[in-house]
Amino acid sequence: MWTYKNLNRIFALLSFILPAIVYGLTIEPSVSFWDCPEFVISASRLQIGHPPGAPVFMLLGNLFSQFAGSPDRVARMINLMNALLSAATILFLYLSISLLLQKALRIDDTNETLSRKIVLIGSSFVGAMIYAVSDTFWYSAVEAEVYAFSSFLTAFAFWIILKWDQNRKDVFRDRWIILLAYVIGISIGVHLLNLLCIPAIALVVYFDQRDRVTLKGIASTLLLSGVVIGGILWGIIPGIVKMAGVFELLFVNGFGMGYHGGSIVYFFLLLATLILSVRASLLPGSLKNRFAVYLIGWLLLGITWTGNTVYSIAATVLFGLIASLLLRRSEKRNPSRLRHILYLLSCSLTLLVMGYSSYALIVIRAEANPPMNQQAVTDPFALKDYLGREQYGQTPLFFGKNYTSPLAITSENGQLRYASSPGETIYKRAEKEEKARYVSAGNKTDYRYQKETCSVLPRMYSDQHKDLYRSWIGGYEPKTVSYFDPLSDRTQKTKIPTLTQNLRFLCDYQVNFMFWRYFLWNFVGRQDDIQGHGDESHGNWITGISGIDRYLIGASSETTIPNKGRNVYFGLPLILGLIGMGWQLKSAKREFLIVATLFFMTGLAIVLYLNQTPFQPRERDYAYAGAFYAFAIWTGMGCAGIARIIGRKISRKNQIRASLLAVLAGLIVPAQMISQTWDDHDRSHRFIARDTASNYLMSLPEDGNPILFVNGDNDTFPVWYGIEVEGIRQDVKACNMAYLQGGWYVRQMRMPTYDAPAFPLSLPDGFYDDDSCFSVQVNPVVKRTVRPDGSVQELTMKEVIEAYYLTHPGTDKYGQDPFSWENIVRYWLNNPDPNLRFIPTDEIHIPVDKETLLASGMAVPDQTEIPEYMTIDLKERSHLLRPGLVMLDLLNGCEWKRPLYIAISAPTDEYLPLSDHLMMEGLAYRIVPFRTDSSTRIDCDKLYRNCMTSFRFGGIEEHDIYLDDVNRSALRTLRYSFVLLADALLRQDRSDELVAVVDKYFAVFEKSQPDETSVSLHEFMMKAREHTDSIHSKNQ
Amino acid sequence: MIECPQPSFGLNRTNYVVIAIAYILVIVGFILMCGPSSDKEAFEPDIFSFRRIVVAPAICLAGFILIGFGIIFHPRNRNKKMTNDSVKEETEKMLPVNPIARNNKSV
Repeated sequence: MWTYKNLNRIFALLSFILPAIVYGLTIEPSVSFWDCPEFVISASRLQIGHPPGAPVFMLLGNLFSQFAGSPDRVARMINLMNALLSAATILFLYLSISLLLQKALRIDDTNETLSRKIVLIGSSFVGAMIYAVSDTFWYSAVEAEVYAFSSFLTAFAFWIILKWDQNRKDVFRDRWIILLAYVIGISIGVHLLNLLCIPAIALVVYFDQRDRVTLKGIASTLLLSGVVIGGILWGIIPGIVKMAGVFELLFVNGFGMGYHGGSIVYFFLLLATLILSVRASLLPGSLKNRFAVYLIGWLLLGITWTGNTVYSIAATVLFGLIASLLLRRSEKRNPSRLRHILYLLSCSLTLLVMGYSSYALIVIRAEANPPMNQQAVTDPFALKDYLGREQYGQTPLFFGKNYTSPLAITSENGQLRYASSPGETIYKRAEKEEKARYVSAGNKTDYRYQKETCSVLPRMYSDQHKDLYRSWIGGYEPKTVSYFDPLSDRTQKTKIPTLTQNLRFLCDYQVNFMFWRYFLWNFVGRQDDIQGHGDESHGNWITGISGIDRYLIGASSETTIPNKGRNVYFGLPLILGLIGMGWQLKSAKREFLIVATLFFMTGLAIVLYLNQTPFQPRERDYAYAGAFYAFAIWTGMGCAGIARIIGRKISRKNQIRASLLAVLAGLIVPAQMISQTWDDHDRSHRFIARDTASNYLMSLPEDGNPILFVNGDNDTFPVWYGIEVEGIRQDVKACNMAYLQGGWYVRQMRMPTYDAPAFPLSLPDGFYDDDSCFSVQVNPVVKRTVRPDGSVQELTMKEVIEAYYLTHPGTDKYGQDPFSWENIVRYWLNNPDPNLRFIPTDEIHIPVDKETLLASGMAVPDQTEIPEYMTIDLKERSHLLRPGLVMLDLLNGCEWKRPLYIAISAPTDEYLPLSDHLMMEGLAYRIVPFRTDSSTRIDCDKLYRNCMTSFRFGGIEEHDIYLDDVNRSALRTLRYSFVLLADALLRQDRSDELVAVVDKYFAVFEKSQPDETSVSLHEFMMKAREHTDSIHSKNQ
Repeated sequence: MIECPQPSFGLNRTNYVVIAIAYILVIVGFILMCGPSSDKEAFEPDIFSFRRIVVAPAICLAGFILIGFGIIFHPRNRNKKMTNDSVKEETEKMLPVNPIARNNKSV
């Protein structure tokens, strides 16, 4: 009954059930912040989120969302899905540790003793439980992100190869390899992190296949696995999309098929070729005859396909020659083995492609034009950019620019321009044509930077982060380089950081601060849950031992406000892990290398690849969950190692007792950990993100189809979730201002959604497209004269027009009011001459109709006159970017009938200078045509109604819920609204309402402590309470 | 039907059949997901129809999961454990003598 098999099954089941219960109890009951609302929308409504997309996540999430019962429980079901996937990860961790331990303990069927069984099962369980309750993993297990699913697939893939390794004699052993290929294909549709387990997998295969293991063999295996990762990441994934594009052009433009015809033909051709290659490896006879199939398969996979047809065919032929030589050599040596390997290769590729084909979901749904349709990925060309995350820009790795590097300028035919290498041709669908056709819309440009200012291994490349880099390297760049600048026609000098400084930034910031700190959070302890920026006060790792902590974070070890995010494990998990590393190194070197490779690839390798800039918007520990998984394996080993060490020192009689003791002692570690981590991972009863969505949307008036401008992730995505999933205010359009930089997004805003009409824009579609003006000049200088005394007189367009209108009274050459937006559009922006497409003034007029304005429900403060037109002052700006243009066009088009709002958490001056034209009605400012200041900016009636009746507070009134950084910030916004309202009511002497507001504030926020940033707000409300109390007592 | 002899490695015919059926399911799911789309003129509520965002993705998912099972499935020979050596013996008895000398290294 107590056989190893049964005991193993019981503990495997426990390794699933216990974490499932823990995660199930602590999931967020509705949507979370950051990208989660976007993922919930993409899964439950099959809409398209940010690159590179996660179609497999969408499919599984969609299934779970069907069991929700009502729209407000959809997010909860997806959180539950991640909880179950995480529990499954722990199950596979248990099984993997067990398989690895069997090698280290040298257990086989002959020497299975009870004590060994106890150590084997117990230590695996300990390791699994340590990971289950660790910080980073638990964080991702209870919210709707892709990382839980990705961890599951990594754990599953790792287990598969260990299973394959175990079943040496099984004739159906191959199925594990093929399943692994399929899992990798599927994981492309979740997150590309999974590719990182390939080197560890390669080592398992190498150790199994070769009797003699050499250093050279290990090195070449790792190198080959790197080539495989590259082959998938930069070969197959973009290659298939590239080839689909080639076929699309051929079949749509060439043969007149409808859109997607070419892609469909291509895909079936690819699949057929791959299946034929599988068959070719099985048929008897020499492979020489069937080489063509393999070559066509290679060609169709697009691995060596570049934009240039000639180069691509040349590369394919070259590959074909090399491959055929290698194959001929292998065939002579060992034909059946060659056949087997080719079979595995073709079968694996077929299944990988089948898994990857989940991306058809993205194209199919993008074609449907749902409200959230990022990048409008309706053809293979857009899909290629989407997969390659082109919108996020490139980070240099081996050689590239520094943050002080200027763009290189070359002179061509006497003209000076920025140096660029022409990239791929951009293809788009032809507009306004009956027949399907792709047209070329120019080429992508790869701008080059001044070569002399570039360096090897540039770790500080982003000019936007100039000051932050400087503070990390201690001030300035010591190395001076010179180059010839054609613009100024002389040699220029610039300073760049040295290699030493680059390496120091790599070590100090990227490796230590952004990786080892997170590692030590998970296995030693964490100071608090406030984001750290390098100083002692927040976000550091600590041990829980006061002496050591005083050394690590100085006085902060005593003065930090007690925070649920403070978790200390006294270094026990780390110690266990180190013992495990040492023990495995001694007793099972090969397996040590495998786990170490996994640890490196999913940890430090990511750090090297990402090349992170300083001052990230949030902590990024979730990216390294794989490395922590690997270390958790070592913690399990540590428990076993301790058991073996003790076991060797005592008599045979007490072996069983000693093993039990060691395992029980090991279990203390995860037990202690969960006592620390439970309070800051329990998200139950917390509805703050969902209520943020509701608060923003309900701040808007009921009629008029208001438009709400949002900017960051944490206002945009909850608001979109509210509209799309819960159906709150589907008469509203919520527009992300930053996305307006993309032509695809402006197009989407021109479509109606649900009950909200399209944006009333006057500029034609083509004007807002990606390849047309991205920015427009404001009031350019048109004449520059040098006076006799040497001074320069500049004449701007506005002055020229004003002078003209002054000297020609009654003219309407540029319309009655030449500076009204309508006339700017008519005579300038829509001008057939592209040189005249600028804004000829620095003050734009948007006409106002008083009656319409008042009828729309806008509150006009006393003493404020409604102007004839709203003046947009662009004096500080030389250019206006696309979002600003759209917003201007919209302001004009809405004609004050359709209200326009900006979320109070969004920047109000970034795209247009609007901060003087705002009226706060709730969590959003209404854009008003007259100027307001701090005394007139609050619409007390509407804000009162919102604060008192329509705002929801996420559950803080009822429970002592856990609030992390971003949730506290959301609450701070609510507190701030109360403060502004109380202040305005005080000024207007509306004491009754003030009393009600103060009472409401304290009723709501009674249970939650104000954090550092909210203390002053809280103090203001306390003073307000004193004031109302004194009024109250005066009245009595 | 594609004819090939059963070698001593890889998947069975049953596996291939299940995988094929499963992938056809995936394709059917994708086809069911297609339909009219929204444009500048009007919002198309059909993009959220029951067929397109409930039935179709479920069929796709079922197909993808079935592919996994199709790979793993293998017939269990209850009497004898199928090892490479036992299968080698059996298949060598069945196949005709192949004039091309095969290397005897087992995979």
